[in-house]
Amino acid sequence: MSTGYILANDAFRDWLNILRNEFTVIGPVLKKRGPIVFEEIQDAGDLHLDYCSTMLGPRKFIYPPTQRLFRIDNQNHRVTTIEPADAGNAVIFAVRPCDMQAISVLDRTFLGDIEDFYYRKLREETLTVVLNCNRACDAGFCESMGAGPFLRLEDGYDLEMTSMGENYLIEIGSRRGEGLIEKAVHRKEAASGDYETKDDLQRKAIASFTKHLETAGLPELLMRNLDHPVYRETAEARCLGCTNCTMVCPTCYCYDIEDDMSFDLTVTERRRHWDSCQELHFARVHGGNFRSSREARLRQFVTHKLATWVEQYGCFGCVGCGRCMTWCPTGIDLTEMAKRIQQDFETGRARWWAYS
Amino acid sequence: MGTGKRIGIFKYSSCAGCQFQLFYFQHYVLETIQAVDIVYCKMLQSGGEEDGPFDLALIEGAITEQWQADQLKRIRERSELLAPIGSCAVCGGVPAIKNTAHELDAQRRVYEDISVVHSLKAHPVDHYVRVDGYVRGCPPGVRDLAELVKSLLLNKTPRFLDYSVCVECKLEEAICVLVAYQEPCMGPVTNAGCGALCPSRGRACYGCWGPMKDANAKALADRFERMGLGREEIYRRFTEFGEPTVEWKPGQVKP
Repeated sequence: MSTGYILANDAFRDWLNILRNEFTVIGPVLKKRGPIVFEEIQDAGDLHLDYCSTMLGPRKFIYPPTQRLFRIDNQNHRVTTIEPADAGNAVIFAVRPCDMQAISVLDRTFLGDIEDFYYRKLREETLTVVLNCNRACDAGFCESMGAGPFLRLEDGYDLEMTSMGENYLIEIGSRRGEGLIEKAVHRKEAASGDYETKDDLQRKAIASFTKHLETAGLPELLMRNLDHPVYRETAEARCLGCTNCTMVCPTCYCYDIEDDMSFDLTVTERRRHWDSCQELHFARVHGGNFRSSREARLRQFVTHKLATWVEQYGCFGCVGCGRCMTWCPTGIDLTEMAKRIQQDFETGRARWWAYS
Repeated sequence: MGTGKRIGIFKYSSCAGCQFQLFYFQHYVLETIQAVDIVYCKMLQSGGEEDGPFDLALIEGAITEQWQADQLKRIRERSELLAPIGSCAVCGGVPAIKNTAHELDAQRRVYEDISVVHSLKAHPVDHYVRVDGYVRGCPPGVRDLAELVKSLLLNKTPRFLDYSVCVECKLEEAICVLVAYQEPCMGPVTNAGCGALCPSRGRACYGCWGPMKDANAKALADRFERMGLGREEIYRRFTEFGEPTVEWKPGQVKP
């Protein structure tokens, strides 16, 4: 949408406080000992907008780590759905473009052919305000993955913010977003010069990237080199199987189901919680485990994010946020693994024949 | 209204904290007592039916004497299910620190007169008998204990937590002390259940819950070495809890 507004920094803070009367306002907050965490803010001053990336993305509000699904009354044989808690009236501020892209990637999983009731409810009732990145973060390569540093999505978000020094340019992404910005008292319509400033900032941001990944032909290359030694070597020397990568990944969607019964055996509650393909139990089925080696599990992570996701959902499963390599205790970098296979292909050491 | 399920609780070399954890059981204490019959438990009542039979035998502590091993085998044969509870029974725990020294030296350090000491190396319960699950923790986790008792009542296979401490640490959104502060954190190779008690408060995990299944101890030991930790230090971290385990053996590089 074309209409945009300019909000001075002071007016922005006033606007947040106005919104707090009506909404649960969530944003990045600097915590004791240093982490920056998405949580509800009590005052506009709590918001820590000058951040690169949080450990867990805003995904946790739309797809929570643990979710109660339904309750079974064993005596009366009744099943009661448990609606997602705290649904409605939440606005998440300063969602980075990569995280917004990640939510749209999750949409393809949960709102695709089979719709997930719990996800839809939280997704629909949570508003998202994107904050564009004026510079690249150290581990980020969102530019290569088509997810940043400025928002690349056409829809699925509510507002887009760009920090322009003394003020913010705020562009509308949805009707509900429009409703939010209309509550800002001292807003003024953006002029063409403001959009030019934004374009300049975007160009500068793109130029600041040091990390790149060539994605053309990558899915095919990875699928033809499933037995490349990089997986075995990395899995043996460095992969701890700790699942940090999948915990922090903003597009990981796997969950496990758990039934919890009361001690008197009268009530059962069914829950789901985040699961990880890096865990040994993940691929355990009747008769065995089809990913019993750490090598197989690591390959699953890399090839799913950078190859099979494309076949499955028509987009990459990686948005280039760099969380997995930042929080990996041994610094395993999936782009380095992909690059090694690319280099081996260039020097004729990796395959390019039909994979059967 | 009991279900008539008979539980026996046995203690070997340990601090007895696991049994206390069982009695407290936090908000489950009444439900547990009503649901099962505790037919043998020295910390709770004198006497009791030492010879079973048991629907479930809970074993606390490491095996460090021959009579313990003998009794354990007898219990196994009279129990439908048997599970070690707590780190000492699951992976050797604190008693197994002595495995890193010569037996005589370890005994001499503590006792003046060793003629009455018949101690052997400390071993976890599963070195002697087959077990039906592990309730990890120091003290054992309430979640896994409840799961075990409920599974007994439901006659189902219990599902214990089997992932690393990192999972719980991430959910706490605590800054990673290994990545950010270069602390020698054992979290990545340690089984979860504690709720990342230490790392989420800025302190490195020292592995008291014992090894996670399929842990890559060698890779973490190498990481510690690259951080500048000496071999002595690395050895200590991997032998403080769980010296006898196969999972942590590759990390136990002799200094």
